[in-house]
Amino acid sequence: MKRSKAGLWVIVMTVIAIALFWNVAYYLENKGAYKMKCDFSEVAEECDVLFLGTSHMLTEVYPLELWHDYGITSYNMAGYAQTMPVTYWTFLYALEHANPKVVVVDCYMIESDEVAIEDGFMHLTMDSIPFSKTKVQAVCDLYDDLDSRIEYLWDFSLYHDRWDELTWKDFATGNENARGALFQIGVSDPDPFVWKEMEAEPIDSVGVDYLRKIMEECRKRDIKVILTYLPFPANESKQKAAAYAAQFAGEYGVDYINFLQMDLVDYRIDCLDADSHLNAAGGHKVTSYIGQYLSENCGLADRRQDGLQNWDQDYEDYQRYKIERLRGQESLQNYLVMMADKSFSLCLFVDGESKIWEYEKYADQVKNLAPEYSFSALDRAVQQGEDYLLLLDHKNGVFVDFCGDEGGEAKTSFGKVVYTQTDTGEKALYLGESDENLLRDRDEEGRKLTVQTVVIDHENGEIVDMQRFRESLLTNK
Amino acid sequence: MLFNSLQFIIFFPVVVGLYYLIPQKFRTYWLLAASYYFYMCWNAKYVLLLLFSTIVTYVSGLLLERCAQGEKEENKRRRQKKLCVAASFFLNFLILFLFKYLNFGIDSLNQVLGHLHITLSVPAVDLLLPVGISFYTFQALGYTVDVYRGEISAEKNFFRYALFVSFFPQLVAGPIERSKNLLRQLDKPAKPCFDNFRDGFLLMLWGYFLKLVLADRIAVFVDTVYGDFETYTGVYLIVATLLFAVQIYCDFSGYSVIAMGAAKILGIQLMENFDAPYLAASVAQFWRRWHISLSGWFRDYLYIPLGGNRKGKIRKYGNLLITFGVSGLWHGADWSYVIWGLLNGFWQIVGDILSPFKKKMVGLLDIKEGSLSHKCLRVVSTFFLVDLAWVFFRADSAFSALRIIKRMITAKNHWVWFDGSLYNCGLNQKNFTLMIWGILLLFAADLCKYKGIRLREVVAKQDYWAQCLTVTAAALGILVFGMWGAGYDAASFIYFQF
Repeated sequence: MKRSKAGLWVIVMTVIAIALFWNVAYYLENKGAYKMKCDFSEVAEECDVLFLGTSHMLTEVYPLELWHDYGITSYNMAGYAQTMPVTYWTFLYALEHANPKVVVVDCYMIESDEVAIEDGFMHLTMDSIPFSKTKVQAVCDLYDDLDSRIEYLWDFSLYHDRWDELTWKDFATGNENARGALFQIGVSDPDPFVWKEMEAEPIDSVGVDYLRKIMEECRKRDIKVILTYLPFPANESKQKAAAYAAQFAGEYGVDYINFLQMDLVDYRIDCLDADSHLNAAGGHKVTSYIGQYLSENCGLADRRQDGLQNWDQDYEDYQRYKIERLRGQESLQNYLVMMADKSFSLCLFVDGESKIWEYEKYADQVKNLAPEYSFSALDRAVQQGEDYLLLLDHKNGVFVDFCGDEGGEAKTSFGKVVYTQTDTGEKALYLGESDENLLRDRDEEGRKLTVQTVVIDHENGEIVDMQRFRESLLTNK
Repeated sequence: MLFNSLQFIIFFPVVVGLYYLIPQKFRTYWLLAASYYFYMCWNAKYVLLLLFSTIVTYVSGLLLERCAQGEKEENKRRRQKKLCVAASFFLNFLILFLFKYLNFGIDSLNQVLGHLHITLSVPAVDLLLPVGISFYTFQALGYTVDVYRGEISAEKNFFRYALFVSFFPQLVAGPIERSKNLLRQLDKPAKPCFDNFRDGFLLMLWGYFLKLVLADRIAVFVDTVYGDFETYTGVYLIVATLLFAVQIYCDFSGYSVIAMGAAKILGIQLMENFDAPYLAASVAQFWRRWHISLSGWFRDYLYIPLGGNRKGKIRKYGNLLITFGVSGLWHGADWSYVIWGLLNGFWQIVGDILSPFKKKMVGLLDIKEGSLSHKCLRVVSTFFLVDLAWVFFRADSAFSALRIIKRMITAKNHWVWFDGSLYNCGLNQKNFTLMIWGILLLFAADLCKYKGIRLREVVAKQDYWAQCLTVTAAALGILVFGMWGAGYDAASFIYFQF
């Protein structure tokens, strides 16, 4: 009797211990990866398109914008430094939950023989995949040594000592629902890039082998494949790989979009780093292009009328997330990257005394806010050192810019906008019925303000952010 | 195979499970096979040395018993017995010398020749030190002496004897068991018992706490400072030296406690190897509480045969120095270990010589000998002496140890205690704080032990749910706060090298 009671307690406490352990392990886990992809299984069944690839795909294609603009349901399964073998296993995991009609695979690293790059990046991908037979197979395929296999299958062995790094964020329940994608904000001078047409040379690599496996899997499941080579200042060896990807696509008879040979992005202002990634401004352009391509070439239905309420809700969350990121920017340059987003409308005022135009990237970045328009007033303002105001309403397609003493009013989706001069000769900007001048000449401490922005959510007409930059602190507000 | 490795976490439950599932008569063979596998995981070839030592001492035991039972005259019998013991010691020490001390001897010889300006360099031999060789050799030789003294009869069953020498929980780092204790228990394999399981598991958890939470965490700090002792000065070296005393205690006693726990689960009671040593009030007492199995071995098989304290003060002091010098050499083939051993012997001699003076001072100053303050003073001063000797143990060489002591004394950077600089020596503030709390917990546990409070018994008296909760919380705490897993190199137990 005594023994059986003891045995019972051991069993009960073992169960409690496992439950406790489960919770502790969750809180200790690095949430970076988990939070990025944690909603996949919830929405996978609704996804018509999956995006696969490396950080290029991860940071340049935004599924919730495809939803909002084209009614395409998609998920970005790409990850940092994801080699083709890792992409293949990520794809197999995705297929356990999703039944996509189209798969878009970026061919960056197709020439690579590496199976797994850098543990930190690998964890970002592997940790987001729940424990399953596929995960076991993936880890066994990617790693030969027992220690690594344990590390990836039981990440508590890595994260248990994160107890000294825990913050409130580890206990928060909110997730970053960007359907797997990630923004990157910053501007770098790119490496010199010129696309050279060249004959494709055969590549025999681990990357190619695994891409073939992806193609076979898609063929088996009747999934349309689109191969891409996303834009970045590629060197010659990468251009060769891009050329080979075209040949590879031809071999399988699938679509191939080589962004390297397009003028879609302006590397001088759309690059996050010199030789690899685009920033969010570049990402919006790529996303928009891919959305258009998918709509026109893949027979995908616009699903915005299908009652997929969580997609609308998640898009709203995504917008809030973007607004938070926008508010968090501390340099004008990064702020302009975030504003190059058609879901925001804006007013931008630059004081004529400002010297920002001496750095020509600012003018280009302002033009990048609406590349489809001609910025004649801006050009004059830059040349003559005059005040400049830009009014941009993406919803109603209103574009107005003023130089010097010019002024006027415009009807926008968020009401009437008036730009004028006060009796004292100061510039004034009024939005809607308000009689509050949104422009200031000086900050609270009496320092001259040179660049001022008003960002408006044109869906509801609310001002979501206003920033005022001082001349001396254009790069550090 | 380390106790803190995944291999052992898989190996041990399999061994225990099968041990209790198979018929009793096969259990010895199963444990023997498991023990040899355990040893071979480190280096399969060196299991031959273990086997050699086992065969030599097994045969010597049988011969000793045969000599004792023969009809020869007493003197001849005694001579033959001594010959048997000498042969057993010679063969075992030969192996020990070849694998552990040969290069030390060559190196020392080369240094002497160098000082004499003789340009003859004897090349070193490329031999890997077999793990645990000092432990199992001493355990096996202890058996030879016990049979010689007639304290036990020779073990006839070779496999049981082989298990005695190779019993895996204590094979590579002790405790160095006595044949009287262990052989008798191996004779009668135990039945599965909840109390043994609980006690064993608690012991193992405590051992893992000492090793993974404390010893390996402290090691980060100590290695950082000692690894670059020419950069660190004063307080850094003082703190590192204080911490090293705790590290080596946690490391070594951690292994012993895990060994005890593992053996307990198998129904075998191993001897206690540590008994709150840093609460000792004298260096002599420290050595009765530290590595008890080795101290006992040297006492019974070296110090007493040398004459112990029976042949006058001078002989006693000489015997002490010999015993502790040899003990130092046992710990490592380097002069710094010998100096460490001799220092410990020296402290005891000085303590003995100053004993009448100390008593006089106590009387003169009207100090109450039994008072807490007096006890604390003695404990602290003992710790200081022992810790000073540890510098020689931890430093790369005797010369480095002297440099470290000098840099400890001469540098004046007392602000380091307060300005957070100590958090830049490998452990951040949270880890440093956790380490301090862990040390306080260890101190509390040792204080209980010192006072005769057995914490395991306290736990055992609680309701089952409380027992299980204790185990669960302890296991979870070790999993979270222990130094293990990816990015962590399963650090060997310090005493493995001996």
